[in-house]
Amino acid sequence: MSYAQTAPDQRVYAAAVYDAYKVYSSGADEVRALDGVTVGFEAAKFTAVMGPSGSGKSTLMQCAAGLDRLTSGRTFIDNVETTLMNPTDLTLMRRDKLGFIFQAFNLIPALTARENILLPLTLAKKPVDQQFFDYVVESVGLGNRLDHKPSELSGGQQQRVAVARALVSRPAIIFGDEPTGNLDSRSSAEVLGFMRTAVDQWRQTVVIVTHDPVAASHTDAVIFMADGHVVDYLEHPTADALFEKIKQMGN
Amino acid sequence: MWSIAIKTLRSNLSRFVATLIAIAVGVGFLTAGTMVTNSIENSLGGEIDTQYAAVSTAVVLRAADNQRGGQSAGIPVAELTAVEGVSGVKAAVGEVQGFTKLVSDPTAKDQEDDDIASNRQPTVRAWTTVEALNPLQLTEGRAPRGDAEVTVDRGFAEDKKISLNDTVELGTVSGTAKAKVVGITKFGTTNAPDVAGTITAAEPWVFTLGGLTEPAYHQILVQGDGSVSDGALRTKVQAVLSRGYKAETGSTFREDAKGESAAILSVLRPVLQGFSGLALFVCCFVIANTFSVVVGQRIRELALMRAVAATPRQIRRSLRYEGIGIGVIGSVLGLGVGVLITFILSQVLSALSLDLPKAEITLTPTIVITGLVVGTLITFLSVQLPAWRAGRTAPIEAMREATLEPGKVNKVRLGIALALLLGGVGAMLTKNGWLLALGAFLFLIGTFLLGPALAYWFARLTRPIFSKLGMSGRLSSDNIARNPKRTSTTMNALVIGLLLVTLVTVAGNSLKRTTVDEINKYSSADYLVGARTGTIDDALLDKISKVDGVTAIARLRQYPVMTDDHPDALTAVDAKDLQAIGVKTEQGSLGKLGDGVAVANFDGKAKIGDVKEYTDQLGTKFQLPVTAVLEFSVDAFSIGSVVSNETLAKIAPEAGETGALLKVDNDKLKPVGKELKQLTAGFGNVQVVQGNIFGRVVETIFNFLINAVNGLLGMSVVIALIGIVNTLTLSIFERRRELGLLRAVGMLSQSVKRMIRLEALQMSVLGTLIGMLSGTLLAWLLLRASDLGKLEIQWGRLGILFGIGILIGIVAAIAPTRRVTKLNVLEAITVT
Repeated sequence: MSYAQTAPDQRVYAAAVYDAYKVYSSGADEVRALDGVTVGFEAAKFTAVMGPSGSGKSTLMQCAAGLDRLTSGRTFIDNVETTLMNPTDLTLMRRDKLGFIFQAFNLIPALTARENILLPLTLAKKPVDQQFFDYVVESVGLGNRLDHKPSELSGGQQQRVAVARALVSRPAIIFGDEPTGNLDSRSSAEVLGFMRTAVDQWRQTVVIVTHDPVAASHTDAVIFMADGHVVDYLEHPTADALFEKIKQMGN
Repeated sequence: MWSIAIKTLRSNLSRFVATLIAIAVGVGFLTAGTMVTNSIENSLGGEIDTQYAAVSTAVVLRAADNQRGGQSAGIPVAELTAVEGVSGVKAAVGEVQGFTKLVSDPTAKDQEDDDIASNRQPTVRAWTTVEALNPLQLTEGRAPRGDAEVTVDRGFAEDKKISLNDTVELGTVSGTAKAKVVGITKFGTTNAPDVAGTITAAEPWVFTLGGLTEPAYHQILVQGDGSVSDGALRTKVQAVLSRGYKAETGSTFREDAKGESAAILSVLRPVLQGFSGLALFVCCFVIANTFSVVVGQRIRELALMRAVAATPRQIRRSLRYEGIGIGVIGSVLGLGVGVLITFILSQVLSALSLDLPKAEITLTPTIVITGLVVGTLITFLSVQLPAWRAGRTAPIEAMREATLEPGKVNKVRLGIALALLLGGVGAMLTKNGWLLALGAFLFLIGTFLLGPALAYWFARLTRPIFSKLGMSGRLSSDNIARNPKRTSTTMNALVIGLLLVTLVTVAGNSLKRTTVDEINKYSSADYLVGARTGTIDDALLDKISKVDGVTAIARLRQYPVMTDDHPDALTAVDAKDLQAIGVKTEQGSLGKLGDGVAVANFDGKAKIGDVKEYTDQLGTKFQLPVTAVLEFSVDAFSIGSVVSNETLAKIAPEAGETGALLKVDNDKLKPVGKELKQLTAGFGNVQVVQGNIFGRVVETIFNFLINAVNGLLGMSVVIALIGIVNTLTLSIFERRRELGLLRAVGMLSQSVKRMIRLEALQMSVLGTLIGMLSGTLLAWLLLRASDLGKLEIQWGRLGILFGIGILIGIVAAIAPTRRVTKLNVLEAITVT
């Protein structure tokens, strides 16, 4: 199921939305953030959603992740329908199956880096796989900063902690909303590298929303959105191809 | 900056409601306190100094009370003639004091219940022809001349609806008589020197009117011609007086005339002033706190003003102007509240049939100006700290989402806090008035500055315990420690509230006990039944003792005697009954008098082992040893010298029952009085007198004040509650992204709520503890310095206060946690 297909296909989707509408109405005005979107995010792939401001890309991700509800349509995570789940079940589902990396404010200020990484497991009262934890921490290069509070870490380090947190509970999908938005190009490249690793080595699914073509070029597929519609789809993108696409869309 | 201040006030007036209430109540108490004290002071003899200023010497009966033992006496007219002949005397007049009754009383029906005692009957005085010695001034009409002409005082005329040239019917010694009202009088700024009104008439008809069987004076007032000192004149006047009369200097006379009232005022004045002070003190904190909250809510607005280049000074000034504006509005309201409180107070008193003594309760310009200035000033001062804080607002805060502050204790701040606390305690230990106030101030500032450090330490302490409750418990402790300053700001309202409630509970109670002990000296039996001459029928006293509402009766058998040249009485009375009335023994026991006598300790020098000499009416002299000493009180004074039945039987075998003292249920004063009146109606020689009312007045005022202050504090607790809800809500708003993140990574909504509740609980426990500890310490220091009472810690009450504090914390968390439920996870994490 790509953006253009509505019939079931042979691919496996970690998350999907069908015929999704999200309408914000303020008085007489009506804004259709999602205007009939059907899209799936392929399992064990790295997907980016791109588009200009107001295209509905963040809304798509938030609804797919169960952070927000659609006005109409259906949502699935890991082949389980989440459309009508109650808030508690949604929270439990997020705990079990999803990881999040945001643009900023990813960490709980009161907790150390280690505690932040383990937070989803602590909340879910799941045992910690110490070996995997060490492996992840080593991979993201946080070995000696684990007992520091977020206020004592640089922006890049904070974002690595967020990545580690998203990885360590081995969620089915990691959602990132502009995860590199606040980072310099070097840190940005590193963080994207970790996500790539998560997909390639641990078969996790990663979905990010971004408007940075360089970031999107690390992914396996890019979905383009405009005015609440999916307008284009690109597999194995290169930075150049993406720039080209964006230029086209601008026209 | 004025224009901005005014616009802010106008658009935010609802935010300032709490501040306004605080100012109005504070100023109200100050105003009411001053008005009531002035009124009582004036009516209880505050005018004596001015009205009797010209008196150089006064001749009085040797006893302080001419009614002792039920016998009345006077100074014969001949003594006045003798005094007038003394060289150095410019003028001398005899003052008459009798009682009459207004027979033609148009308001009689309303008054009937009360009209049973001499203190409800107007006092009859002779019109003093010597201007300088006349305490009364005419407001209308002229002085009375000849028979059947009287003046009445302004208040009496108003109450009884009498106007000039009316004819009134008055009771006299020989039946009722008609008299024409030729003048209306006043006594300085008050209506009359006498509680139930003053009627004057010219001599000699005044003796008939006043119920005196033969012409006699109550006292003689002498004006010197200035050739000799008052002291010398007194000696010369004393030389011409007969035995039994005493000349006093004018100043002694004035002091005696003020007598009891001065003693009551000496208790009442500092108490009223203390309460006003306390009320204002409470208000300062309430104002500062509500203003801080208002500033907190407007932090973005202020930062925006800074961003568009308002200097910190301009911001501060703008807030100070707001403070002055609010202060003026609040103070004006406060004057109204003051009048209202005074009105309620006098209503409460009159509902208990305890009228405030007749004097005008006036809102003088001084009181108005004081109220306005003090109200505005305390507001202005209270705004300083919030204004200073607002001035430090950084422009960036207009844009900033949340500020991350390191969770550490500021060592400099801690040092300053400890220094202030120690300095404050040190200053309060000195007992010096100004240092005491300064010390209390430093102590409070120190407490608030210490708040963040205490919050930090407290959270460290609770963390291991709360961690057992899971992530939400652990995070609650961490959040408290993370921004201890914010925690402390949230707690402050509670700390202040609890501090003040504890202070008043502990100090107020100790003060009350001390004051009530003091007041008890001036209280007395509720009714006195006595025979003017001879004895009272036993059966009558039996009936009286069975009247519903009479809780105790002490039946007296008295035998009139003279001791130390003044009239006294030997009294046999049941020891237990006397104790039930409230007479206390200082030394010895009433039950073990033996052959001796119990005397009241008037001069503080009486002791067991003294020997008293008595002379009875037949001139027989006998001596009795003092075997017990009674505490000074009005009752002890009217009883005289107490002896056992056996002793009295030996000295005066024929002495019968002459009177009784009654204690009555507070609610049944009026019906009992009415019934007593009916019971004694047929007995011409029996009079019923209502006991001293001043003790009751003082006690009623005191209880009212304690209740009123508790009400005020209740209000400050409510304001504390509002403050906590506000700061907690603000803090949640500030932390909404963090809370949203917690929700996003899988914390359940109820766990987030639990976290907030646990935070509120911890803050309320800590705030309550700090408030109660510092309140108790402050109460102890203040009581210690004022010597007004001993610290009494009532653990039960403090336990209740602790419970209330924690309850406030729990209640305060309700609204903010609701906000958490509404919290949109997305909004929290989306960068806008």
